[in-house]
Amino acid sequence: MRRRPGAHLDPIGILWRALSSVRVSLIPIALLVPALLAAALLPQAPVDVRGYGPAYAEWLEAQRETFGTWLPVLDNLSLFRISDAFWFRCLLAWLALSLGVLVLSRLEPTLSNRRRERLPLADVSAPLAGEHVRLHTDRSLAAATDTVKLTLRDLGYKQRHEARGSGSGYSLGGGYAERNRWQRLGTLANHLGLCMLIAAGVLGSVIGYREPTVPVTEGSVIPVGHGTNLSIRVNSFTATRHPAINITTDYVSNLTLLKNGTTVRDGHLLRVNHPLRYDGISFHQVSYGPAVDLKVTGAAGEPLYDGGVPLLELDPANRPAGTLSLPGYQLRVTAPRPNGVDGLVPAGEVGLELYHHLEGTRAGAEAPLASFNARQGRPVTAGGLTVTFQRERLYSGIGVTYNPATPYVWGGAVLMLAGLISAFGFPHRAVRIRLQPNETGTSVVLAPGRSRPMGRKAEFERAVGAIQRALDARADDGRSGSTMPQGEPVYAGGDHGHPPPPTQGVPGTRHER
Amino acid sequence: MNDEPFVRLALYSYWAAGTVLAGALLLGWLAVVQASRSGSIMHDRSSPYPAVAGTARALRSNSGISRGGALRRWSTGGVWLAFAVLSVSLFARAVATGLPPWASQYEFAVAFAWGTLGAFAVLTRTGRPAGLELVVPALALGALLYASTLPSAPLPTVPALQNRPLLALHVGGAIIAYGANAVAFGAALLFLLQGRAHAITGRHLAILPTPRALDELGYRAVMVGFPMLAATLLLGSWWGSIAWGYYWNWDPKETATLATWLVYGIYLHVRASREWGGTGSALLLVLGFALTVFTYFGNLFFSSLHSYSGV
Repeated sequence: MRRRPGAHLDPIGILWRALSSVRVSLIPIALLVPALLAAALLPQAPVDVRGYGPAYAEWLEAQRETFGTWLPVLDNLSLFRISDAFWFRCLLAWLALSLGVLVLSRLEPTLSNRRRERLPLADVSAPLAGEHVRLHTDRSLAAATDTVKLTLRDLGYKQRHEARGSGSGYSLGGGYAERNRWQRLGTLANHLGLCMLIAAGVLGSVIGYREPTVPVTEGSVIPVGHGTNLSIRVNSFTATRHPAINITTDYVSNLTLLKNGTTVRDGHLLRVNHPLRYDGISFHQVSYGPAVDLKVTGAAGEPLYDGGVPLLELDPANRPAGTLSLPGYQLRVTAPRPNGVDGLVPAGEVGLELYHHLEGTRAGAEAPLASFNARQGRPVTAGGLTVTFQRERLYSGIGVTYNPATPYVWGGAVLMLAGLISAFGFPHRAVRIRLQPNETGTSVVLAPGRSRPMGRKAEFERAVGAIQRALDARADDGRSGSTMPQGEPVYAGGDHGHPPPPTQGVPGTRHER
Repeated sequence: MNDEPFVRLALYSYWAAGTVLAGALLLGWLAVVQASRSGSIMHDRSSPYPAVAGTARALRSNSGISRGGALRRWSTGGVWLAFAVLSVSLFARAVATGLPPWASQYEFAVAFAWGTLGAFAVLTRTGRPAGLELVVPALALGALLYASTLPSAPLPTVPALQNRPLLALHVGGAIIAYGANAVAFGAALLFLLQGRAHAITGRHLAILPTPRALDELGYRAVMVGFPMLAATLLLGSWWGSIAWGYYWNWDPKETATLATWLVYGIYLHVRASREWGGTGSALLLVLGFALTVFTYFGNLFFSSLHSYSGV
């Protein structure tokens, strides 16, 4: 739109118009597509290593073999942690903002337009523009109007009609028929729902928290943290495997939930798809794995640790491995390879590596102080510590989630889905009608509604066909219907037809419904 | 858990459906050859968008292939029969396993073929889509051939899949969406073919529907596929929140499905605003289906929470 000379530049208005433009809102969507594909194709750093520098560096280094010299390039573009990338969050924010502005800018026009569209008689002297169909029938104006009304009513249209005339008859008739006039609100609803989804998702990630997997070995009590004063104790854990094939068919934790040391839920059977919910926090059985029970004492015999060590990783030789943090030390534990012969760590033993515990490093970053195996039940002393491998166990992987924005996520989802069903299942359809008597009968002009919902052409042609067939049918007075030769009606698309002659001395307008 | 007679019935009807479908495709191609030999394969009119042509009429009347032949009728009947037999296979599989028949990669491949044929049957019920019946059923046959390479013995499901209602709705929605996307892809492919013919010869192929009819069919297919894919994503999110504690895990299959859905969203907006001509819209449908296939096969080459048993 050209700015008038002297008019002030309105940056807010320009931004508003840009954000409410469909063209502009397609840009973040088009950019999100390759970003999401990159997130699917490229390995993404696990959530628990992204925020921890040395852990992320170690993970990144493990990708060097695959990506070679491209590694720093991809890392600088944050392609290994796309969901955390600033540019990705900007795209999401742009999309959410665009959706919100789009909804707000179209809400009032949608609510007002659905109540009325100007009837064709209002512009009776204007040339017919745009796509329209002209039919001819030898029925009178009143009969033709009734036929059109009945036909459109049978097709499910709600109609408004008016006529102009003087004295004994009417000289012009017009109407507006529409179906599913609430559909445009459905389109708004689905966009609003998507906006709510994005906003609630971002809100949840800010005010909520999530621990994807809290490994808890049998008999251990693990604090939930996050200021909840909650702790989880796994009383027992059972994993059922199919005897013939290597598939786990079920795994269940017998769980006790404690708050400030007091039991609030006892003996709850936690299994996949059956979470435990308490005070807005949900606990999910998400995984399980191997663990070992170790007892560690110091040089003076003081107990340093007695419990389970979950083996959450695989070492380069595919052995289950885990790390136990002790005061001043880290103990790296490896178990024998499952289903295979392991010369370094045979069955019935665990491999142990003792490291100094340096702040900000993980075990393995430097050479170990001591490296040894421990046979089950036999204490081994190294580096001033005495370690006893007591037994093999399993750990239960429990997911902990707190997300107060979840109801808004589902609200947005329901709104979006309802809007989609409304928009696609019940599309808005409109037909404008003008009827004018002539020497041989009545001229019926039909045009689609001014709005352009998707798929309107086929529906308009269906309505035209039905009206034509109804007009063609033999009238009650015995006269034949249409005087058109059998075949196609006259269609005019985009050209200007001849305007009807202006009606003289119009005293007023009769409205009909 | 495994009811052996039903397992066999499922397997035999799967093979029967594949055989019938292959035969139907062969007859369809023979019908094309017959039609091309019997008359001009080019349209008389050069306009890509005839002024008067409802979709169904265009599909029926604007192609020489619709005017002929027992071959074409047999081909169409074969497609319908294959769909019916495949339905029997899925039903028998469900009875045998006690679960919705799409809990493994093999079952999902068979269901993909079923969904494709079902979408084809429903979306083209008002008009026999000349030419399209050579493309879409071929995709279904491809899915059945892929299924034949997979272990088909029913296996116990992993705990994450042990939620029957959501397994039925979430994966069932995906199957319907994928089938509709396949029909849209077929229409887009033929649209592009018509465009190529027009660019070379100045006329369209009479043995295929008009570009406008194909454009409308592609749109109608997306009108089914887009909301179903949205439902798939939302139901999957709900299931994820129950099973794993969060409704979005940035799982590769989730993100690939979201990317696919966004492509169809772009298509709908572009088509509504007529920003791009039919060719641009058709290319988007081709891209959308390519992403659909990528998403479907994705759990074979990226580590995903959606990795099925039996693969």
